[in-house]
Amino acid sequence: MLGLHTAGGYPSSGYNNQPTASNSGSYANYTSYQYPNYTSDTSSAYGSGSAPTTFQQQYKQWPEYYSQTEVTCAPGTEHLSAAGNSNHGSSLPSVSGGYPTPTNQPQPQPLPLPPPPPPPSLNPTWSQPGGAASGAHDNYWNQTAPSFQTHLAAPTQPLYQNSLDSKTSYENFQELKTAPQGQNSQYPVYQVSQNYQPTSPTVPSFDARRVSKLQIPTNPRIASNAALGIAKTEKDGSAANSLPRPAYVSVAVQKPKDKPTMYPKSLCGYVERAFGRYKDDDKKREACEAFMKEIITEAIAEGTLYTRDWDSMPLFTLPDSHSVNTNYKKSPIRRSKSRWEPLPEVKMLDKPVSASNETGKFGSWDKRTFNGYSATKDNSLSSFRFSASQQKTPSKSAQRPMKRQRIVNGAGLTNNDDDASSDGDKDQSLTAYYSGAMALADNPEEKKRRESRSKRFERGQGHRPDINYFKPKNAGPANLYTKRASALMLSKSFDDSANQAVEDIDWDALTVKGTCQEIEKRFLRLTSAPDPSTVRPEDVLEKALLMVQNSQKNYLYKCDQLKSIRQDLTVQRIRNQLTVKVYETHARLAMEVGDLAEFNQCQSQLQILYSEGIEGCLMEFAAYNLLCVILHSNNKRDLLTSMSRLTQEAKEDGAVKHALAVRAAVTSGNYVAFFKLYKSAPNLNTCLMDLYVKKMRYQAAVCMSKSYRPTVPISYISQILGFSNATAEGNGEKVLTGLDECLEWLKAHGASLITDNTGEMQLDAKASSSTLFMPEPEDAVAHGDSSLAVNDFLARTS
Amino acid sequence: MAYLSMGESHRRITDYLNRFADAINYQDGDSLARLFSVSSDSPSLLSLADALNVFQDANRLIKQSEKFSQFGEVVAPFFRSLQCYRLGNLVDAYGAFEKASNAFIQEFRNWESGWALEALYVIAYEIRVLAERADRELASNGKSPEKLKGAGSFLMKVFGVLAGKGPKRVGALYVTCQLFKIYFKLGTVNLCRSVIRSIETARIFDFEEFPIRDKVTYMYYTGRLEVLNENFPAADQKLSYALTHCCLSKEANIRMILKYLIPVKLSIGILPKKQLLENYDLVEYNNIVEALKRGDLRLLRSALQENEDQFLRSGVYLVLEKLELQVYQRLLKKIYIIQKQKDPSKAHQVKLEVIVKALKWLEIEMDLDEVECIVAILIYKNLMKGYFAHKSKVVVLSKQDPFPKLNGKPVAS
Repeated sequence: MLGLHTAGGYPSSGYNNQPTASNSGSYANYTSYQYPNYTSDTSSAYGSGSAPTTFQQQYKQWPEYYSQTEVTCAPGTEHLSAAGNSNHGSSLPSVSGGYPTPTNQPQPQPLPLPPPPPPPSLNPTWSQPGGAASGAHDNYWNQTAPSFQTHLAAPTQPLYQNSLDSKTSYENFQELKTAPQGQNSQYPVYQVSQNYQPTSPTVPSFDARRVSKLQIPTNPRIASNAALGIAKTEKDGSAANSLPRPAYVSVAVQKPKDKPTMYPKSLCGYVERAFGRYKDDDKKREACEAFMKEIITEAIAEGTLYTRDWDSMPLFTLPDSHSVNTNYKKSPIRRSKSRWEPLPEVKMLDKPVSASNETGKFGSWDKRTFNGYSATKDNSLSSFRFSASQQKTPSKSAQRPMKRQRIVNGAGLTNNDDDASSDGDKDQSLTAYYSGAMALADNPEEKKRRESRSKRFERGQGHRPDINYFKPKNAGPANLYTKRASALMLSKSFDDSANQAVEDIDWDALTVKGTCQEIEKRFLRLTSAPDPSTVRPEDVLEKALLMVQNSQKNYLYKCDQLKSIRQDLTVQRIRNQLTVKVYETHARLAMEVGDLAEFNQCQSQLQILYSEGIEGCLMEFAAYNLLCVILHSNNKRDLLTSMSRLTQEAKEDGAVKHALAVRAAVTSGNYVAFFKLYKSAPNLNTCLMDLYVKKMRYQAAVCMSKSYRPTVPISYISQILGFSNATAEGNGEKVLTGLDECLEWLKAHGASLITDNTGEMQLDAKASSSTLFMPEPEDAVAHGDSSLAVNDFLARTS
Repeated sequence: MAYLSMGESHRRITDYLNRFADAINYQDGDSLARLFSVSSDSPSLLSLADALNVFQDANRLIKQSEKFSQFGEVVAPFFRSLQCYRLGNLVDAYGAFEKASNAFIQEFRNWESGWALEALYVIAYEIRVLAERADRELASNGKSPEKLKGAGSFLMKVFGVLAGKGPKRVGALYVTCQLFKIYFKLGTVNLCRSVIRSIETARIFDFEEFPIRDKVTYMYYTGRLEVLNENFPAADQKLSYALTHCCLSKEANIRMILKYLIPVKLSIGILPKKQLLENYDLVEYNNIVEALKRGDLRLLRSALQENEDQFLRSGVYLVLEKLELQVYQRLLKKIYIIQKQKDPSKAHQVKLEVIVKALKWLEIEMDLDEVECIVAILIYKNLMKGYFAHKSKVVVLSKQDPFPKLNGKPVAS
């Protein structure tokens, strides 16, 4: 029990925060179990000879323990209620105890001190010197990834070595999945923790626990039951184990029925397929197991375990098996750091347990961490990270049923309610974000509607992680870390295997399949691998695109939405007509407001998409591309290549023809032709030309002032330079005629004007030729990019 | 292929190894160069390749003797490259050759003098040619061709080895030219800039010291870059240098230079003789020159359209298109001359209508505004002296030299 406690305490924040959770005890166990493993790794890395031996020892012990557990678990002995709860209760205090005594850590010390009560079989290994141990240690390494499974497997196997064989473990795994629920599960964790007993001898429960364990071996019961039991949540198992401890009885409400660990059939099939590929490679199979677990954990965390289409899910590909191991290597370091962090407040534990259990079905892991964070502000981020990464570790994956999540979620909800301000914050930040964007349509009603909508997202929706996007303040850090941690598995494995060339990476394995059903989503630059629960699948994206297209909101909002759509498409590697449509939509919108940077991004993507043969408005965008190169980049080489790429068919196209004509007008400086084309521009060619109009007018004015004598009538200039109908559709207040506008423009550019005897305004060409200048752009800003000045930008776009 | 006995194979391989060792020991760059030229298809190398394919264990031969084993890192991959090349597996041939080259460069770095420059040239050339062929093979297999890019970075490394002070620097320009070829082929001409900078700014390079063939090639490529930048005087200077120094017997090279030099000369107002165009088979420029002479806008446009693809590919299209203004100038000058013949006193006043009518004869429809604009541009760009009177729609030409010649200067921008 000792070990258990300490370990459980360690994972910590999460655990403590789930006060409600009668079930959570089991969860803690998982983590605790793993923890020692990791630490052991680190210690081994440091070369302490003793460490490996202990591990070995652990392993050896396990089978024994399993058998024990089986005994206790034996059908019919289920102690669902009181005992289990008591276990839970006891675990909490122990957690706190665990922290102060960080000795569970890999340091070799603990082992030598009080030799754990080793079963007889252990002795041989125990006596092994360090040298021999290293080999064992290697073994150990390989095992770490699938450790969870091995544990599970162990009970069924008479020999521990058998369990190492990943094949068998795989079978076990399957078994596990199908296992009936009723069994009491012994959680192997306890045994593990036993090793650490010496370290924290102060824990009161220790003795009792030990006793129970010791009892177990005496029972010659069968492994098969045990395997089933494992599938169960540990709580019950622990309850069974803890029979001798009456003291803790009756603490929490228990709901044994909730522990379901039935895996969908399709998932089983998926797992089978996954393993089937590596039948003859042990290492790979192990790595495969780890991956599997990760996937399942993820699915559970997202609550999509039952909704996901496992049948159609692509099989992952394994990176080098050793890289998988390295992942694990990393984690202990991080963990050990967090270990020293202050203990999270236990206050949370006092919260009403009952409430928690009833709430939301889809609670997610993220939410939990988040709650923990907000509840105990002093909680360190690293501890979150830790818990998050744990989530990824295989041990958790298979078994944690909905229950834990539910609890977690429950805790989260209660927390939310208590902490009303957090809701407020969220809303505020949300509205703040868009408030700028609402410059135009910003009436109170709209605001209210939006607020209520955003609230709806927070409360009503099952998918917590999504919400996090809308809660930059609170959720931000926690969510971020969780995500990063979860991404760590993937990214690290690729980083670490340096020998793997980039092109060898199977990106299919990394492709995310989104599950988010939210239509609206803010863009947030990914800093890690994407989290499927925040990624929208294709059909939702389609709706999102429609939403944006029909939206009355301003460009800033649309741009944000489109970027998030693009991101979701990218991470899911969706490249089809929808993708093209999204990019086209975005490009057009960007063009309309003159956002060249965004336009260019879309344009270059579109070029690639078109070249892949995906249909779209190819001609239209070929024209835009030409215009862009001509008018804005002025790179001769680019222009030549774009032109030489045009097919004969393209050259016949109206839009392309127009663009080519514009090009000719620009290169020859033919302003008359340019403004004629400006007026007759198809599609959004005008928008691109708009950006060049100023320059062209200035060039024209300079040219005219040099070549005309003595004067040029303003009316002519205004007509030639496209001023005439520019403001024809003014709303009646102050209609600037083209003439007036032209006049103002000329004045602004330093032209000298005179009135001739008929009263008509004339440009004094000779005088102007020396005075014309290009005025500083009015919207120039200190930092050089006017589009960064939000107010200006909004004024322009609205 | 006739049957090749084991003994014969053995003899050929050791023969090669001996020659290799001798070339290095006697610092005979030319012989060494010949031993490397995979793609030359020289009989001796071909027979060696056959021998290698028969005698599979050439590496053992290399390792056996002290004399050969020191070159093992160069020769072993070279043998593999030769084998692959003989078997038509160009991708692997390139890979192995790059390995051999790398090892050779390591050795080369340590040699004080530049005796092995000839061999290095061959390697630089081979690596480019093999990469090009490998890319073709890759492309035909539907894979992305990337070897030429790799060859580019390898040659960049070689350039680094040569660019320092010392006797080896004269080789730098050859490598530069190979790099140019690669960059132009890949369309990444902006990468040329860094190489050019180190050639043109570094004090240690006196340009005239380089071998003449490298200088010509270098000037040709930099001239082409200037054409792309529409910096005509510079392009003219570089391409003219290339033309005057180019060996007269290399007609293909002269043609390549002229292909760019002629448009450049045209845009600074210098027309080639028809004979020149015919001698070097550059007839695509014939009509353009003719259009410039006659002021025939229609002819220019049709000539451009006819050869559009070709001009776009070679990158002179935009240059040629700019000749339009000169054609307008010529047309106006013709009108002016005709008017002068009719009535010298009013010759300097050209009515806009007349120009419009002239264009109409050329079947080019332009309205008054557009023609007015063209006239304004001609005056603005100093292709025509005078002014335009808007009220009366008349171009009033200067009495002195109304149509100034470009005389080797580009049209003002």
